[in-house]
Amino acid sequence: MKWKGWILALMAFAAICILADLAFTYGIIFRTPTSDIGRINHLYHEHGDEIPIFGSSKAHGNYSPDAMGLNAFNYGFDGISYEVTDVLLQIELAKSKTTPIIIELQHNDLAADLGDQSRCVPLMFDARIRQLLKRFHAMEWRYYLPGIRYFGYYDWYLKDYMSERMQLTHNITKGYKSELHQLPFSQARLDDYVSKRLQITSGYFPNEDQNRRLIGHITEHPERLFFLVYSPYHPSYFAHFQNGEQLKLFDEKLKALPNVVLIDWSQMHFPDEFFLDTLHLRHEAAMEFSRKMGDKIREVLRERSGEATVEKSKGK
Amino acid sequence: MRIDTALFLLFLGVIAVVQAMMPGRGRVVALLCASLIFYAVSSVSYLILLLGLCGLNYWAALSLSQNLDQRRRTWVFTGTVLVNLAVLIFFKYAADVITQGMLRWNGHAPAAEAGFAVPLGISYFTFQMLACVTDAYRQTWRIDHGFTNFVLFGLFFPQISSGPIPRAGPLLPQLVGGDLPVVEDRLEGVRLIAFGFFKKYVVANRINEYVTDVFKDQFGTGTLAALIGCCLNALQIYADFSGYVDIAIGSALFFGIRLAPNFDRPFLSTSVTEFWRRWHMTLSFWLRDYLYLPLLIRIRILGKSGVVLAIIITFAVCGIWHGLTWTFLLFGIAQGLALSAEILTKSWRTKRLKRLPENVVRWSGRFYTLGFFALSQVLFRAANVPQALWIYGRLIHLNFSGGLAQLFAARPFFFALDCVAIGSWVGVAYFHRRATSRSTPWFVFLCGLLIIFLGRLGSAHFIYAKF
Repeated sequence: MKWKGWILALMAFAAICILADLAFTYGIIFRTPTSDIGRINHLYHEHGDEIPIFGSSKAHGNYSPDAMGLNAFNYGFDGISYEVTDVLLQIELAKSKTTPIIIELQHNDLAADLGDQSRCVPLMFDARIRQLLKRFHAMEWRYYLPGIRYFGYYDWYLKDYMSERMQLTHNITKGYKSELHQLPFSQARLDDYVSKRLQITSGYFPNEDQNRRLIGHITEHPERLFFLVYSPYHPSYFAHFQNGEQLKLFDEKLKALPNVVLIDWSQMHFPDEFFLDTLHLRHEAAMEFSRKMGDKIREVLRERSGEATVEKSKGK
Repeated sequence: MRIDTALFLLFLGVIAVVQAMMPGRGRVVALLCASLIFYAVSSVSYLILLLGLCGLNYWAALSLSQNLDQRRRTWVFTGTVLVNLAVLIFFKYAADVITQGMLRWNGHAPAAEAGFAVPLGISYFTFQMLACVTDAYRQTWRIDHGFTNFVLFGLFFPQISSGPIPRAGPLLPQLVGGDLPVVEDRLEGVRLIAFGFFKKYVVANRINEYVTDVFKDQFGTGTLAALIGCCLNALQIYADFSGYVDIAIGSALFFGIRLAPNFDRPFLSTSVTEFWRRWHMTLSFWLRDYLYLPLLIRIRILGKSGVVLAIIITFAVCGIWHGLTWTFLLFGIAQGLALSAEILTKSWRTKRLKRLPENVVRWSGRFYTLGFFALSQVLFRAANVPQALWIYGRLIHLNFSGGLAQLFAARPFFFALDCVAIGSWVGVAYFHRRATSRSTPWFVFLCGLLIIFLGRLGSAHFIYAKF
């Protein structure tokens, strides 16, 4: 066998992989601030007075910082569970900031999900991300190999890059994504989602470990005010809701913490036209929800600052 | 162990090194051990089951090769066939039916909770064994190899999961040869493996996302999207299955063993009859030799009706073999009806088509065959009959409204990449046909780059692995 050809081909392959890795990492992935990785990168580097909003797709699609009228940034990611939020929270809490934090709470986190792994691969330099992947048994040998680590994700990174530059499909402002060509509301489609929802079990199925970690973060950082929010669900979500009493107890436990403001708007009345499905709001509804949420947060912050002034004057 | 993984490539490399260090007979033992390990990784208990079946079939083939009286031969043959079929039917259908029944009855099924699964490659293994026993019974083949060689034939790791379905006649002598493969064979094997990986990751996995979106009505499937979805569905199944077969044949060739080809450019067929001679050839020929022809002999007195009946029954069985659902049954019957129609109208068509230019006849034949196959594959893909009817409905009720995303049922960027993937398939196939031992490293280099940059991971195993 002629080995020269194989060695040359292997060297060319390795060189192209390394070059592609460098080009994608620094020329595309980290140059797309509105992509998921771009937003996580923003989280690493933001040390100002921005209010971070954490959570899953409900957070991503429901909270518009502009409509809220706050200096906030949306770090909601589709298809993730609290496990991922927990890592993002760790990154945020490691900073010397005192701004409030908004977290969209989920009732059911049993189906713990890592979400799209392509978000993690370029951030392998962070031990917390590596730990997260290991916890989900999602760590793969190829994630250590330049070029090969992005196998299967190249087009996603490229799509994010092009979407940002061309703004053909959606617009992302301060982390909030709004579709430019949202499908018109369809009652039949929503009814289909509702009938599917009625066939599955909704409810509060606590993950004690996650609850303990969340409460741990809150108590360890009394300087940060945590807004824990349940944003609106379609009424069908509560048709067969289980363990409501347990959920109330957990909510009471959270409310008892001095630096927590629990806002339960899960059953806020919104018409059918406001829902994409039984969990997520359509854009116009998200705007309305965000405006109300912004008002609520400002009101709480005003009250709190008033209380603080009274406390200070009492102290004097 | 999935054969489309880096772990499998590592496994191949280790076996090749071990085999190269062994003397003549040791090489056969090395391949046997590799096959046993490969299967044991999937399930040790099922390995024991398959070894038991190998023992039974070996004994039957040996008995049938000897001069027994006809009555005893018939008993041995019938008994062995029934045991093989019983195991296949139990694992493929009955276990599922029982589990579903128990779940409905009391919401509890021990088998389901214990992770009850169909043994890896049970269908292909059974076909292989039935062919051996039948050939021995018909005295067209006699076993003159030892039991270990027969086990290696039954469990040979490249082909155990999804074929090609080998015949003992051509394969057994190769397996027991114990010669080291020549370099050209090894290189041809490497090229096939690289091409198989390319087809799976770049073409099949990528197209799968598009077809899934169309079938799930992700973007509002219109007529154009449904049409493209049907065509891409057929392409995906071909890329996926032929990709698997290329890896299997390439892996065997890496050890100097030539498995039977399973595809012969089926989309160039000019009729459905020809298509089934080029598509999943080892299954088609198996069905022809062990089901269709014996059936036809029994009902030949019915004349043309007998032929039609035999074809429809054969394809109905072929459909049901894929799964016990109405969609698979209808898929099989549709193939049978098309073949029957072609046979019945053959002389009429030949007379009329003679007047047309040869190219027109050839291309219209290809168009008809591909169109028929793509439409029938909707049944193959659909979860149930209503979903298949829904897709057919989209094709009939013309609707070309909506934006680009609705028109193509996809984000234009990904749709464009799907087109690039299909285009690159044509290029890679061209390069593959012309590749030599000298250009092998660069062929592998090209496939590797395309897989890394254009490939999709996909969560699904090979489509045919579940059959």
